[in-house]
Amino acid sequence: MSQAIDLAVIGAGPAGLAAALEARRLGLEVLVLDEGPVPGGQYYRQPHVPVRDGVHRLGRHQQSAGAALIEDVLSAGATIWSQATVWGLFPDRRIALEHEGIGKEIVTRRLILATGAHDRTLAFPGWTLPGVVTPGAVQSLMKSDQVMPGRQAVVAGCGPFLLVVASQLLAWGVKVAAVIESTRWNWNAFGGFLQFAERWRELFGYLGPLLRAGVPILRGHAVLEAQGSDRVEAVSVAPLDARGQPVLERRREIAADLLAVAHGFRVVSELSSIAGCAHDFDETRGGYFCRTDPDTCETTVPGVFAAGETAGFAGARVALLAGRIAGISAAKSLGVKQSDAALRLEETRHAREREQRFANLVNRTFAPPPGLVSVITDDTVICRCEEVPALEVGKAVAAGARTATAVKMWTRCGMGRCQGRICGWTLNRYVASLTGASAADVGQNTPRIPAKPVRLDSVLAGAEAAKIWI
Amino acid sequence: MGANMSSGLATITVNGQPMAAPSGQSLAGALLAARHDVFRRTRRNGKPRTIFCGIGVCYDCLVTVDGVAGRRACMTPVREGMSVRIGGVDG
Repeated sequence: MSQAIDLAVIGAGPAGLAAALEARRLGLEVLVLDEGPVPGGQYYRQPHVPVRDGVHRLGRHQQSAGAALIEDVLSAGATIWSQATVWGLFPDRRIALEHEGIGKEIVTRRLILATGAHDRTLAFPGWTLPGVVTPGAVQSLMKSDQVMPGRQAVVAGCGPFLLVVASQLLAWGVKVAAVIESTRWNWNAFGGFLQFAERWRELFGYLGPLLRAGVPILRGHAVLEAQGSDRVEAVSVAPLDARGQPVLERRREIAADLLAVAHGFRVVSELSSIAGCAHDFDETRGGYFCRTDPDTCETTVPGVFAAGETAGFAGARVALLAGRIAGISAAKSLGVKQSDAALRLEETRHAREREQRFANLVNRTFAPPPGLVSVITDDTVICRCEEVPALEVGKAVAAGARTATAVKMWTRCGMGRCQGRICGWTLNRYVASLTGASAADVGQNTPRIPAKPVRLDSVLAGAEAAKIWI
Repeated sequence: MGANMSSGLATITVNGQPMAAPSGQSLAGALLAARHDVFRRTRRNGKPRTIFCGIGVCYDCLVTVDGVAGRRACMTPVREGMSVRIGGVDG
């Protein structure tokens, strides 16, 4: 078995980087494992090619804050491995991964899971057409690759991230035909938002350019269908009634060659599940998220911590603060004693409390309405990987399947390469809509190893190093 | 500036045809910039697929890189001399 390192952090986004920095400064030997080709995660997404002159530098403050944090982590003496895909976690904090195509095994005394979140998608007719993407894909193409993903866009789903992406598309010279927001931005919540005056400027920074450009922002609307033969050519939208069902008589078509659509975010909980940590379910917080002690960010598995979206979707500010708490707590649990650490921990907890209140308010305000799956038709593909249409899911339910796992066994829905990450939420809501059961009762696919598809020789190399029989 | 950012153009081949792309750019970005709209076709219905999530989650953007099938174009940086095949079944 390999020599144990002090701390491994999985994920080099805000939470993982903040955790690594704190722990390293308290003297721990720190290794950060990140799947991306460049550290930063999604919020601190870095450019992968030189930024061309004259091109609007998207989110440059975010990118430079991220670059500075990455630099701090590295100069503090932590190691970051990019292109490191963790596929398994085993007892005694043994990590199996594929790093730059090579299978490896790491043993760590403490583990921090900062695996983040991704766009949460819901199936609708035409969503597999080229040109239909997530808002996250738009950002990765523009921010990292300097590639414009379309000429005329519709941005749809729910949440403030839609405004961010729409305003960035606009800045890039893409015509934004409409922003389709499925919630109605419950104005009752505005009393709550008043106390967060520092965030209003941020909101108007995104909203202002959209309003000035005359971009229609349709609240209480949803996408019915993406139309086109080889790629998306138009998007059908309709208003939602009080139960969240689309009013089909008021359907209309909007021409677009790009549809960026997602309903908030889904927590990446595969590794925390595989580690055996307890999880809770709350759709407004990203679905299943890892249960943590708020004072330490420790999970229900001793020595394993979770910070950032892994512990419930709450955005980058909470992630940075929770990462610090996890990093300091991990160091403390290894016996590191430093007089100012306790004070910093206390201050950080206090700051996080406020940011968490803001996050809760946003999460509740932009909770996706219940009726969205009613746009699904029999031939709508639910599972993109295995091409399982809704009709087959319906047959499985009619024959007695009641849970996501049962439907998966019956139909292969969620059994493809993405392992149900993309269709999981649709399957959950769709089955619940057919049976009348609650989302928690329908559940989700149980995450299993390998958490991501990896080459068999990587698995064998990891198993060999760990002396695991497979 | 990204820590690992390289500069300059790389020459890769796409289905045997040479193509220039910025080194370090994701293969997905490079293919889209060159107006390649079909990365692969699906096994069951032969439907075209390209980038969807863009961040390595959905496995829609699969292509063959240097003979290895099933590589995510969005997570694979362009490197000099890379040989890419697109349009096949399941990448």
